[in-house]
Amino acid sequence: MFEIRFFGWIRNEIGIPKLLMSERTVIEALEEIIKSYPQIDKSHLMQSVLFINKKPVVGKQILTITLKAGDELAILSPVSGG
Amino acid sequence: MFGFNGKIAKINLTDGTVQNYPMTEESYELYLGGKTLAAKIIYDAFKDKVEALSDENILVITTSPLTGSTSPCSSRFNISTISPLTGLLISSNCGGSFGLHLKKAGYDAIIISGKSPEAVIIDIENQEISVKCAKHLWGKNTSETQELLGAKNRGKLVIGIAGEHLVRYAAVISEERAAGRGGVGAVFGYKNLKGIIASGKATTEMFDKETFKKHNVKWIKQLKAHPLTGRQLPMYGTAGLVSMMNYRNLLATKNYSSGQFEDFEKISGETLAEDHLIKNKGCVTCPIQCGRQVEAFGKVVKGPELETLGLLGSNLLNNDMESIIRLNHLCDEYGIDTITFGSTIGFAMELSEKGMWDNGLKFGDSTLLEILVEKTSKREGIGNELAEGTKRLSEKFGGKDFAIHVKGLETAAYEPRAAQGMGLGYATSNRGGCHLNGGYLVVLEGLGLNVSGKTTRGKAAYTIMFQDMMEAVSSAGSCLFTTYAMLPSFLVEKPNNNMVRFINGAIPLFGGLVGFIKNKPWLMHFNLASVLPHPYSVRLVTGYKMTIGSFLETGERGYNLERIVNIRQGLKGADDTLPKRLLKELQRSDDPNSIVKLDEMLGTYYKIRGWDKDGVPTQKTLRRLKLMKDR
Ligand code: SF4
Repeated sequence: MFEIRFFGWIRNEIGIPKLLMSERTVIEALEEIIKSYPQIDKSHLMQSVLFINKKPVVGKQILTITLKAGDELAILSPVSGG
Repeated sequence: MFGFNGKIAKINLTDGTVQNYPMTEESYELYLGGKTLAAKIIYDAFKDKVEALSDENILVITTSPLTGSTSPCSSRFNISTISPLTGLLISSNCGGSFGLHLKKAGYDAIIISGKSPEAVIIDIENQEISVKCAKHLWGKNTSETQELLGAKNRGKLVIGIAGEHLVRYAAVISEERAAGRGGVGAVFGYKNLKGIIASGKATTEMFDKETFKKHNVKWIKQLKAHPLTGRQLPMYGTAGLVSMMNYRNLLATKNYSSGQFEDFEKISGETLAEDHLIKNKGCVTCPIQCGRQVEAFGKVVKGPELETLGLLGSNLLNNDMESIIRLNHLCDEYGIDTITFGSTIGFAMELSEKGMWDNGLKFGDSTLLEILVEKTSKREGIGNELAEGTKRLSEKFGGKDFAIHVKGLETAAYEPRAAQGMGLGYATSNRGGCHLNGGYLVVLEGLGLNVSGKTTRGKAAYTIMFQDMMEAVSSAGSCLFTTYAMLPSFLVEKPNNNMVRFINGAIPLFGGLVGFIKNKPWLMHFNLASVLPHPYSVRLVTGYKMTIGSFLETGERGYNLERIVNIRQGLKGADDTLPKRLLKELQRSDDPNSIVKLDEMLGTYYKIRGWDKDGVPTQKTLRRLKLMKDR
């Protein structure tokens, strides 16, 4: 199992801070979230800022990277202003 | 005269006299208000260097043309003086309602000179100014002082015990808001000035009231619709940045030895909202309401801002949210700046860890911190050393390489080794290590947009543009957070979109063009209120022919004037630097680029600014900015 952590308004929408999933690609994980949590705004989720094991994930990597046991996928909504 | 009272008072605390300070309409138009107008007054006040804690130094409290105008986020005011922490010009901006009340009292600004022989407060009501005995308030904390002042429905501004003891980073508190940075509270304390109250019924004329009203409706709508000012800031406040900063390696951790904190979630905006939030609480006239009211340790108190969470949290390896909330509350009560206090403690912890100062402090151990707020405020025991700030501690105990300050002012919670533009901003900021006065380029570098923080390309030009814009916005009287709504929503909301990724990649390439346009404000001789609403607001309030170009030029004028005051105070180009830790120590051992490459940016920065190789504005620059005849 790998862990998915939510931050920002996406966490507010989904209503939980984290969840566990079995091995799959990033895009499959996002699709699973949309299926299991219909309250979430699909475009918000697909346009979140993503990090795997604290490294940013961009572009085609979303389709290709497979998340394995022990990995962490962080899903953050954009922020600014301090 | 539109938008102003046209009246500035000079109050001499030595003899209690009050005079009108002459200010021409031309100067109002050139400097607007806030920190820029204050810089003009401080520039004119002295011929040579002035000591911060001396009878000579003055305090200048300014409002702005938008203050009291019902423009969104316009209740802020400014306090400027020579800083006891840096020896340079400091401008400290504060929310709350004091600015509104000062302007209604009939003054655009007040200048406080001299030193009172005993503790006093200044009472301003409908242009009547009196200096009153405040012996009964001396020794009281800030909430008790405000309570004892009574003065319901009046603007209040007070210092706490730290200001009385001349702690070099003592703050001035107004309601629950702080003018925190640079020790303005110590200058109040030196002058035996415990506080100021103000109120009145004055109204200022407006150039085009009807259009202004319509413009405000549109602007408020824009702020509410924007993902940052309409969703993120109201939902999580500035604390909402902690998580993203951690993932982006931007969160100051363990005295800036890292940009990531293992326990970041425990001190995040999400945790604050889920476990402590009672309601949002912000400044008057603000549709964003970024402030928090929280419940902790059995009390309802002000919630900590991002800077406090960083400096009193991750920077000390303190993962206890309750402890941070309490420390934040205590710092406000005693009246000290949480940023400098946290940063100084972090430095003291590292000195202790390295065996350079046996002070009993340890990273990750927050047990002593609460008592240290009191000891520092009263200058008792090691508190007397801590009250001096990081720079002076490093001069006494060593450790200059990891003493994290710029020009004597401790940097904010943004670790710049993952954001080159932020690094340049810190190094060149007139205030010292200030993220906002530094231009806050991190708004492009991962907090807002997703321009690479690793590249130095184009960063000098953008830093200058943002520094000047922030300066102008502040002078106009708006909260700087209104500028985030300038970022096109789709660029913020769709970071994975191919077009947006392309634009983020291309932004640094346009640095040259931005630098070129900067010196030709006539190219921006128009208003585009949907992008930058502030110049148009100023125009509608004052009647000045303000365009985007002239607005940015006002900011540039202010920035250069502050620089000249600082040069008079002894600033050298060599001071535009960062601590060795940030320039030479890799933030991440697997990334050889995780240092601030200041030398790749600073020369270009000077060139675009129109400064010589020593960082002094050239005669040509001063003439262009209409500062020459003032020299
Ligand atoms: S955004 Fe925050 S700091 Fe700015 S005016 Fe509003 S409440 Fe005050």
